[in-house]
Amino acid sequence: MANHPDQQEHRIVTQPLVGNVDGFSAGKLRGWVHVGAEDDSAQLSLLADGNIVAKVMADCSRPDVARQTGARLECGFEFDLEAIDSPRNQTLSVFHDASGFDFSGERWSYCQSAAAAVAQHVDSLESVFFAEYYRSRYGLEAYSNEKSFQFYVQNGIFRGDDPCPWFSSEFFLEHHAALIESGELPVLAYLRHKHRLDVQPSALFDPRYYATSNPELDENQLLEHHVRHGNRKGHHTIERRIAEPVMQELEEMITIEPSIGLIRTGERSFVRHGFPTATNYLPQLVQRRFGRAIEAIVCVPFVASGDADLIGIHLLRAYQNAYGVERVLLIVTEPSVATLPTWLDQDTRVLYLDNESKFNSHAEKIRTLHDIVGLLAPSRTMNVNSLTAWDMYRKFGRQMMTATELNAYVFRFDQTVEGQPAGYISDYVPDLIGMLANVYCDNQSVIDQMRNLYGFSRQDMDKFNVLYVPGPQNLPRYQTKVNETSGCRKSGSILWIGHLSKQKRLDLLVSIATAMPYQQFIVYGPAGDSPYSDRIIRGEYPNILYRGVYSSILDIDREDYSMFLNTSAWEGLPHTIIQMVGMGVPVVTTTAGGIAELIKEANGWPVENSESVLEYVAQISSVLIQKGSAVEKAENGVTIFAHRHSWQAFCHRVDELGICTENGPIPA
Amino acid sequence: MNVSCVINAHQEAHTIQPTIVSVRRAVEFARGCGLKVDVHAVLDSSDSRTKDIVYRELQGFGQVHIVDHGDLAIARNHGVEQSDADYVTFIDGDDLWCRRWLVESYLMATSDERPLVLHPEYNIYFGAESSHVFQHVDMEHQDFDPALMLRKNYWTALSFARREIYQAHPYRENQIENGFGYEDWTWNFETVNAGLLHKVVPGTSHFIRRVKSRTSLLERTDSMGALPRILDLYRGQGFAVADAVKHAAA
Repeated sequence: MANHPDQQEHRIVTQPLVGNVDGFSAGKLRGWVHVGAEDDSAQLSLLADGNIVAKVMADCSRPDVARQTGARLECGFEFDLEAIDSPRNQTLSVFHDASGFDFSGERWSYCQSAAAAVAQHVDSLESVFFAEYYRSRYGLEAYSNEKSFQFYVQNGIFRGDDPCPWFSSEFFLEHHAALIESGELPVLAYLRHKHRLDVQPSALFDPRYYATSNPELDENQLLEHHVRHGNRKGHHTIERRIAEPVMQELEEMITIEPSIGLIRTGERSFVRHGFPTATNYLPQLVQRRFGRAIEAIVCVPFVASGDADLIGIHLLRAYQNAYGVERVLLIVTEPSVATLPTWLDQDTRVLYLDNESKFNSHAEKIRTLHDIVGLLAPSRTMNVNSLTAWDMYRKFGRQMMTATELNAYVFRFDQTVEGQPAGYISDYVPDLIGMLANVYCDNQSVIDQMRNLYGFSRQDMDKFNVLYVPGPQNLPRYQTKVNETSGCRKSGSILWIGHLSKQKRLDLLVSIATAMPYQQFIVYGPAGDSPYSDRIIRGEYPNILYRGVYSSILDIDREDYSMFLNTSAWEGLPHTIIQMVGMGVPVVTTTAGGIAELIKEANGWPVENSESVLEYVAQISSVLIQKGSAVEKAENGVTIFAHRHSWQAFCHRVDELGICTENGPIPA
Repeated sequence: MNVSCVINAHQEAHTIQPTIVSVRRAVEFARGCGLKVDVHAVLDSSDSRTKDIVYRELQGFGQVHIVDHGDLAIARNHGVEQSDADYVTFIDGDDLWCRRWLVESYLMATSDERPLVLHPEYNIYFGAESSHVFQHVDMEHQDFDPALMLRKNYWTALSFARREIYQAHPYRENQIENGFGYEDWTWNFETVNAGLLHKVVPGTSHFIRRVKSRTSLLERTDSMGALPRILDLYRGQGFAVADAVKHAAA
């Protein structure tokens, strides 16, 4: 298309608008732009090789591309690329007509005929696509593997990007031009001829050699095999030989050192470092994405939805307050589907390890995590319940402690079926205490347990400190419902929350419910290993009603309940109990673990003999009968919550412990 | 002086004799081509047998330096400091050079204005059941990827470069007991980061002995779970580079 008579010299504004071209999809080029003032024109122009080929109006009402960010309205647009009828590659650009905003100077290569072919061969292209290599080579460190592939098929392929190290568009054009049809992309031409062993995709991959070396493989899938498996296994892709002059000198060398002669007859393997595997690329990709200014890293296994594991997020926030959002990184080390709490800064830096690449073993993940931390070089590292991070401490802690402060947050001992201490504390703390700078716990009881069990030195015991988990802010207050005639608390249901596991002693719950048939017990929580789990879920007990799993404690209508009941055999300091106390809900509970630090006679109904069903019944009855006492205890609980488990109390304690101050690493 | 050959020895005993023969062979070939070459043997914490052999074989041919650093990295730095040649190249006390190593490396280095660190094309490991050939990768070859340097050491320590390169980038002392080793890997990483180009001299080879005395340092490094100092976390801490230079000059 010739130059449009309206075409003008596009000026670059000093205060450009905000916008982005998201890419190609289904024959369209899509994006969004913030048009600013209401009277600004939203007209955009699409240029191909500098010539205007289409104009559109950004459309705020587009439901598929429009979105709101804070107070801004971003306007979606799309250009229909069907109109660009050319067999050759063209360079596309987009401009906002009124201002000249050129979307940060971005340009896209596009060939209409090739685009259709690409769409037909997406699966084949994906099988030769090495995502981590591609992200590294083409500067897409901020992209996920999936997004990088989308970029490749929507943009990169048209500008000649190589999908993997063993295919080269340049090589293919130079050596196999005769195989490429008019307008065809080199990589698609290769895929058409990949069954031919004489067609090399690059100087680094010889299909004939690869097939000979791996006779069990499908000759139509050789490059695919190497991308997916062969590289990781260290397969050679071309034949390597010792140069003849070197072989000749070998004879002379044998006269100097006879044992060199052994290599002539013995099995000899040829080693040459190939390309990195997928996870090898991660550390540098992460460093390029987050830079070299990270001061603190918090490792968590997953993004918590609302229980005590949220402490990792709270510590993250404390570090952010101290160092700045951009200098703190949260690394989620296990597959996680939850999203970050909305109260975190939207610029919070997060790395989901399992979203970055596929790990072939736990050992590989440990090494990669270490390399990532090593390249980011934070001054302090905090592990909150991440197995991968614990194993990183174990394998590399001796070295890491010389350069970064290693910290951990632990909750409680677990128990084996024989009743022996188990879990992260017993597996890691005794072995690694020498290299840890600080160990934080959510209750004093577990610190005392460790002192008694392990007999740590005073120097090591000084590393342990209680850091209570903050509860949610602005918890609603529970209102006691009282029978106006009797003055007794209205008999609402009794609330029980937790994993339906042996730890939680569902047998006691069933016994209590049996002893109090006129009371209804409501159970929330995921299925577990308790023999009563399935029976409760199936509703086999007339006065125990199972409600499944809730997403937020605030979803539960507290007015329906007269109290919260806990029957756990062992615990740290359950976050659910903290929340109940914060809301002023009466709590009847065992005194396992750290619970006794929170629930006392003054603010709750502790059950000292947790095996006594009668004692549970007595405490439950007390809650129902003693209205005045219940109100007073509830108020006491709210006061304790504010003193120990509010966000302010948490921040004060963080300052008190110097968690975010510059203490520096432990000297070697 | 064009090239200094530094032989780093410890307690190789009779296995150092073939080393010196191969060095002599390469030196004589180089001198025959017009190069001025000298030889320095640095014996670090050596035993009497090794000293005896070295003194005998290098008499009239090279200089012997007795040191007690107890560390290969520091011993290499010491060798650099003894040299006043334009170029320095290293060999360990039980390995062997090909005849043309000095000449081919010198020609390659002097034909390129860029700061180069040169390596033999082939490393032929002998003397054990797992004999194999390790081919070095040239940084300008298309299958070099810097991302791999975090996991693999691309090149051995037996390099050839201008003396000021080794002076500007002295080897870091190993601290295996503290978890840090692989001084050659660390050095390779640092020099790449400093913009130096590691290249391969085509058609050249080193012969590397794989017997107990040779692998004891490597075995100890591996068994102690030592790491090279290549991550940013470890490159700002630990043994100061200045101390390494001080040791070398002592």
